Amino acid sequence: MKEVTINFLVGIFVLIGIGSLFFLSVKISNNFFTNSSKKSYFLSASFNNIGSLKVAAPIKVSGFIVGKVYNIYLNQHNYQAVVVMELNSDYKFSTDSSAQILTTGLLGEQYIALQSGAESAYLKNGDTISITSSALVLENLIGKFLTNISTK
Amino acid sequence: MNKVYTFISAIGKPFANFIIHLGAIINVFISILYSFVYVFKNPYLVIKEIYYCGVKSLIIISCSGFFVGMVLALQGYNTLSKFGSVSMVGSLVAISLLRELGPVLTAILFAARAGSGITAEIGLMKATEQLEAMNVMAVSPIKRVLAPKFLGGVISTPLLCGTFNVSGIYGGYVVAVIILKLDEGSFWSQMISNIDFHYDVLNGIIKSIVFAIVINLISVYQGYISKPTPEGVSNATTQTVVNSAIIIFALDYILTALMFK
Amino acid sequence: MNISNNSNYVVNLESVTFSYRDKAPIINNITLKIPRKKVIAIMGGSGSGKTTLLKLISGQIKPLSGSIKVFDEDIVNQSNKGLLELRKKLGLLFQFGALFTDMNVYDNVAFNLRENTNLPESIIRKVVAMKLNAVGLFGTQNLMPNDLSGGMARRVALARATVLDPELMLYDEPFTGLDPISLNVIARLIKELNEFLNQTSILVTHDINSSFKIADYIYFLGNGKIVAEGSPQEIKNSENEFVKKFILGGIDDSYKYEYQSISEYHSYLSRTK
Repeated sequence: MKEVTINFLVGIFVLIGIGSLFFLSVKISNNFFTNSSKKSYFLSASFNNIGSLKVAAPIKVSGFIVGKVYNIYLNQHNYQAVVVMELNSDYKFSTDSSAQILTTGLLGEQYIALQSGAESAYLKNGDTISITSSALVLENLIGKFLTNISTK
Repeated sequence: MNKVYTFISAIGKPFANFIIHLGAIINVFISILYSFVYVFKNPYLVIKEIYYCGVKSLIIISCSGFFVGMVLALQGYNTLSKFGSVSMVGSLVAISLLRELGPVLTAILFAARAGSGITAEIGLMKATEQLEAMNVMAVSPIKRVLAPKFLGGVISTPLLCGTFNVSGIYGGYVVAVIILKLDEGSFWSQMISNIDFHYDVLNGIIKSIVFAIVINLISVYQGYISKPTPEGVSNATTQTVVNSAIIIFALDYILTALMFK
Repeated sequence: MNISNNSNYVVNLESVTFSYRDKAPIINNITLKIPRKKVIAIMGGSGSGKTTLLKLISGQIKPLSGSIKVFDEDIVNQSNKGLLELRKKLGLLFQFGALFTDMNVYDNVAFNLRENTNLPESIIRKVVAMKLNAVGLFGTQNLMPNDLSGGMARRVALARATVLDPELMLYDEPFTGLDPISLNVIARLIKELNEFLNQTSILVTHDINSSFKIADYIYFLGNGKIVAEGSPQEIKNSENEFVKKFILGGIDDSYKYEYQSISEYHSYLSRTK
């Protein structure tokens, strides 16, 4: 086969390969070009119970992903779990926003849902969200349900 | 006493052989890395190898990927429908492909389709004294033959893996959306919201690159050390496929444990 | 005196011994000198160690003991890099040509020029055409090695081996498996190349007629040792039993060609009864 033909076919092959890798990175996955290439800022929030929330879990507003969980650690003073969230700089939240740990479906993964408040001032990098509600732990719920039944 | 000695040597010999091969393969690997300067000066050598192992594997890789995606979608649908979450089929297909099946199956198919070919070609060049002829002409066969083949293979494999994944996702799309009439919008949106670039896509590509280095190193090495007889060459090609398969699965476990905590 | 003497010899072997693993030595304490600008034939039967001797000279294998000097440089303790440098002055014609089957004739002959020189392609094209013309194969540039006959392939290999005008040419069985006409063509080419390029040629062969025709000096190997040496005329008139038999081609009862002794065969038979 001629050198030109081989070069041409290899060129097409490389284009297909790089094209598919590009497709996977841009079309199929989130957090690339949309989020991580842009600037982000960090907020933290303390929870009494984070359930099975993990690093890199999504942070959603009305179901729309605005960031991800960056880090989780334990506050040694009050024994609360502190979740550090990495949020896209495009989205601002008022100082009285609330954070809630929810589950996708009944058995799905856990994520943090943010709800903006009414204040006109916005949270800045490093601020803390004070209004939080913990993860729903199924065992506690069933326990409560059972004690309710027995007391009736 | 003699039996004990025979027993110990029967265990020790394969082990010693393994260590000797490991040392030799790393030696070849370093020589190949040294030859990269030469290879970059002669890019056509690599382009030719990409043609032989990449372009010619494109059809088998994308066809296999397509069917694997179809199977994943069908199996995922059957299982997920029990939990009422059939909308997750898209992300199930994509995550299985990106994290595991894409890199692993591409590597296995590549070892069988191209790696064995590389081994056979180098083995036959050795059997017909072509490598020796190069040596006598003051040209190192590692530099002129092994390094371009290695680099061509290492470039091709991740690209083939990407093609495999994309055709797999479209295979899943055909089954989920066209055959099983699931909602197209939720198929894609579930996929997009559940796949993370760094976590899923990038780790998959890294896996594929690691596999590529290992398979291609095994392929060129087996050809290079093969006995210069028809039997030796056939043995070497078998060894390439067998060793590649075992090492890919073992490495896959290690990489998965490291990447996906 | 000694120094000037040395420079007249291209290859110097001093009590060289070689064996594969722990088997009986193939080369047993051989000392020989190859004078400059001559055609030297190394003859002997199959398995007498001729090809091994050639591999030792080209540095493909290392001797167990003894020293080998090529162009007055010790190649036994030579570094890989030094060996590569030395090999640029050396051409080797393999027994079956060993042409690169994935390249056409032109690329095969141009291989050495492209790898070891910085010549522009226009000059390479001329040199290749010249070398192919020298072996009478101009016009085959675009053929693949598989399209060539055995004799043609060997001539292409000859063109490839001589393309850098090496000072020392080694021929490994250049006459094997050729018809008498091709054989004569190759023999004539070897002689011509030797004269025109002022090179030293070492010819390993068991073809008596051709080597008597073109060699200036002949070494006779038998069982890893030099059994006879001299000009073709001297060898022809040699009184050595082995040489006589070799030239006449006959064998008598005293020549042992069995791998193991006949008594071993008889004892094997009695055991298997």
